Amino acid sequence: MDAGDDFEGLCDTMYERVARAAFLILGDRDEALDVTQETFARACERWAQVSVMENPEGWLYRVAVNLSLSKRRRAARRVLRRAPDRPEPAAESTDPALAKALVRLSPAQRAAVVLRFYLDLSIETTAEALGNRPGTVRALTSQGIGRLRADLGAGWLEEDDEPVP
Amino acid sequence: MNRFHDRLEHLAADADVLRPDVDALRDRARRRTIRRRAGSVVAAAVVALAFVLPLNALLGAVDYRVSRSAADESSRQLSPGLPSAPLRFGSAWSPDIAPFGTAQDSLAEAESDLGYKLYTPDTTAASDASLIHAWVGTEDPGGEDMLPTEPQATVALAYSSGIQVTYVPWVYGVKVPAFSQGSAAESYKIAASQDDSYSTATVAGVPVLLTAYDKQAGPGSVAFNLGSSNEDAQTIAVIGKLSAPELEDVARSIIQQWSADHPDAA
Repeated sequence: MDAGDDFEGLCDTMYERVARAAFLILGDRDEALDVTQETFARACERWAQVSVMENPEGWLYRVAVNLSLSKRRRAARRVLRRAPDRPEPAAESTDPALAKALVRLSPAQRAAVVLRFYLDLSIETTAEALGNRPGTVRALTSQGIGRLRADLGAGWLEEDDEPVP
Repeated sequence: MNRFHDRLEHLAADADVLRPDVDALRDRARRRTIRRRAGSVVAAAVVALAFVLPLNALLGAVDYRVSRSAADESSRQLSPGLPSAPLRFGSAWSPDIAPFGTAQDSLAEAESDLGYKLYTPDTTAASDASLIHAWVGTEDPGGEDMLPTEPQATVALAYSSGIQVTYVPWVYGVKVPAFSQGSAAESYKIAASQDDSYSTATVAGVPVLLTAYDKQAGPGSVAFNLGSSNEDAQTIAVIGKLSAPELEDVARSIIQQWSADHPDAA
């Protein structure tokens, strides 16, 4: 491992953004920070490879999303046992309605919505980060937005809010 | 930027992210490296156990000849590196019987809830177009000194050709070394040396454990592990009353898709 000043530069530019995205996906600050630290520790450990990547940001997002979704695997039990197993939104959220609506999405839907609408990633880049096909990303995003619309009411998402294709 | 983006940005600020402690991150990376290197010198028996246990759990889950409690008992009797009981599926096996739980989903629903990507086959014998069942179940935590500590989602897919494909995420000991296909190959060789019904092969560069189809003993199977670490590894089995080449063809399709997504994996 030989992570020089460039690793510090990557932390400066990307750490907060990755942590915030993980927070939106996980709905829990401590878990999000743990995922972010693990993501950047892995980047540091594999710095020889990461530092020469064309798109190290995409790699960071992919690792962070994978770690976040791993933490949410328990949600799969809901499919079998029909019992809710979702994170509770923070009690003092600045936007409790949105926080509550987000945790109602499946982890994969939440990740797709966050990558598309918060990080403004394209469908292709989102597919790469999620390890899914573009068609699956479109479906996840569409399902997620549909559920958010149902929860938040009509009009919260306007036509020009749509992210880049 | 747009209104929804701004609203997400506003909510994300709740994360209250402090400036990262870069030295602490470097320390964490160093500890990861040390753990990985330490893991590589653990005894070969422990390595083998790491591969055979999830395989045994998978195959035990779809063995209809034994009760669940009997399967649990056989797991407890495992010797390091060796399956304690024949890992056959039995003549009563049917691709239309759900091996994990009873919940049936569409493929899209299953994929969206799993937390990991499903690499589904795309061959004449098995493709999304010929999928007839998608079941989702759970693999319970392995107990003390086992990871992960939470239940894992398992999936079984059945195709009109009579092929069933099962996916079981790894449950592994906290002290096992890092995942490697070389270790899997060693474990399969040990299993095959102990039971004539098994044989080993390599499909698309990945070691597999084969069980030949036999009318009395049950369907054939091609079982293998895919992953780049213990955390994301899973055991996949292609099962059916078909010839080994036909089953291997389905396995190859799954492995090739995984490999395309993981070009850096050895």
